[in-house]
Amino acid sequence: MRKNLRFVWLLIKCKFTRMMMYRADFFHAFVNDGILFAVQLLAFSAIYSQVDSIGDWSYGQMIIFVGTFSAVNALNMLIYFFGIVDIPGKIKRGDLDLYLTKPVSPLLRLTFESVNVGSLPLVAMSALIVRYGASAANVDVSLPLGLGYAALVLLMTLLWYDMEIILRSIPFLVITANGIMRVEGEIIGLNFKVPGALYKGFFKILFYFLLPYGIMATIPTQFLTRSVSPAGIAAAVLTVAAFTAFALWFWKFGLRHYKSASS
Amino acid sequence: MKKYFAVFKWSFKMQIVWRFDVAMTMLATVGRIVAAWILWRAVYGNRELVSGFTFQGMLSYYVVSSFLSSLDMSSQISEEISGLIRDGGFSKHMAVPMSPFAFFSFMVAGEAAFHLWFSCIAAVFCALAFSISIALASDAALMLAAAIMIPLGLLCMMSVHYLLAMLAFKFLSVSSFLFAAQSLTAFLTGALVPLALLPESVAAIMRLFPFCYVTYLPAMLLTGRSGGEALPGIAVLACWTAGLLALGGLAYGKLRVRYEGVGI
Repeated sequence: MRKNLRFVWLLIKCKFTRMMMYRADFFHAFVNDGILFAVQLLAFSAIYSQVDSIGDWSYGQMIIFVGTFSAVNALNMLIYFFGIVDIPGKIKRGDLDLYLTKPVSPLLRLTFESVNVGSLPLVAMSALIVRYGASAANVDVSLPLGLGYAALVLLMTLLWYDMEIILRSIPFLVITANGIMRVEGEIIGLNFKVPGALYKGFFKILFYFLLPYGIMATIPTQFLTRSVSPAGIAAAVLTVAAFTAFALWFWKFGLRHYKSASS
Repeated sequence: MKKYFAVFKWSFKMQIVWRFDVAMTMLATVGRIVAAWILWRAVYGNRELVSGFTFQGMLSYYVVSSFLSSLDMSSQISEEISGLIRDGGFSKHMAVPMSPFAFFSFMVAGEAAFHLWFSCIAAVFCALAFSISIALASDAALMLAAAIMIPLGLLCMMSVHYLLAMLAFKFLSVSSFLFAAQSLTAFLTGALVPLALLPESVAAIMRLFPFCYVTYLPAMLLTGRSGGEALPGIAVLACWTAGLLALGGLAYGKLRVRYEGVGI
């Protein structure tokens, strides 16, 4: 464990050095995603200028939802996104050989080798959006409530990671996965526009249990606004545990089928 | 002109190779309509009207606007040209006797023409699946205004993206500009929410810019609304398009000398 932590710290330092060479790119992720979330806030504000609720969700809850989605996305960008995003490309080109021959877990190295500090301001901006939403929803955020919310956000960041690993392990079996990545983008886009609480029937099963993007921002939002039952939280935690176990198994299963295109 | 039609035909035929892209365009159209159906079903609840729209009227707007959005492939112009400038592949477009803007515009038009039918199928499928009765305008004047505005709007977006691509001569990496532009235009064109929901003062400012005439107003005209805005809209859009085309030509003339031709 200590050896792994030292290794992760070394990867972060190496990444910092590389980032200093391209200083202009430092805050690209922040600017791009900041605009994306600002636009979504504008869209929801336009709808709420006409109505006082969407389903049971007030304006404040919707702002928290956008802020939470932004926070999970920002943590994803900060920690692992830029490391694992090109797994399909590495499989296709045979570049994964370099990772498999090193005496550390290839997944650990991929996960932490491209930590992107430029996304830190996006985490701070997300926290501000959530704070504003909580005040609009008249939620008094106590320390235990805040800590519980933060724990759920981290849990959902893990779930997002699981989904990315699962989808990016499919190319071990089929080599090309451009289509899968585009489908992922479309699904994330849909779940960014629609809070999970609004899903019913087929869509609820699909986005809560099969492709659980629907719970990622919804459950922490419902927790902060005290509108989720303990059973709902337990189901979300179990879903994350199940997907984490499956993601790790599927990654190892995929590795066994790696054909090393370059050799 | 014949050589540009050859580009159009080549691009149209090329889409047969990229079948998955066609499927993804259809999926994106379906996704937008599904998101609108779920969201607006919750918004309406027991309400009859929101900002003058009935539930069916709102969904009709989204079906038509999603279809129109799927035809706007202008972002490929900025992505492709900026990539070629960065990687040195733009040289061939400087050497061949064709205007780069016309070449890429006809290329994108060919692609959009191929996708048109599939987006239409996706929109009709959603209308049937979600029992949306699309109320199209019965007034021929509104249909004519929309028929003028749609290609003009697409040309305007092409010139916007061409201008953005020209920035690559100066900055090389313009992906941030392009991503920001895509996020903003999704809102400004009315693809996310109908601009009728915005306060009148904001809407008045937006009417001075071309974006609301690309998707929002044509969708409104096709669903039998906002007829009074048609003529001023066409005039504003035509002025912007002419201005942007001139600016694009000027930018290309000025900035092309900075091209380094990496890899030549």
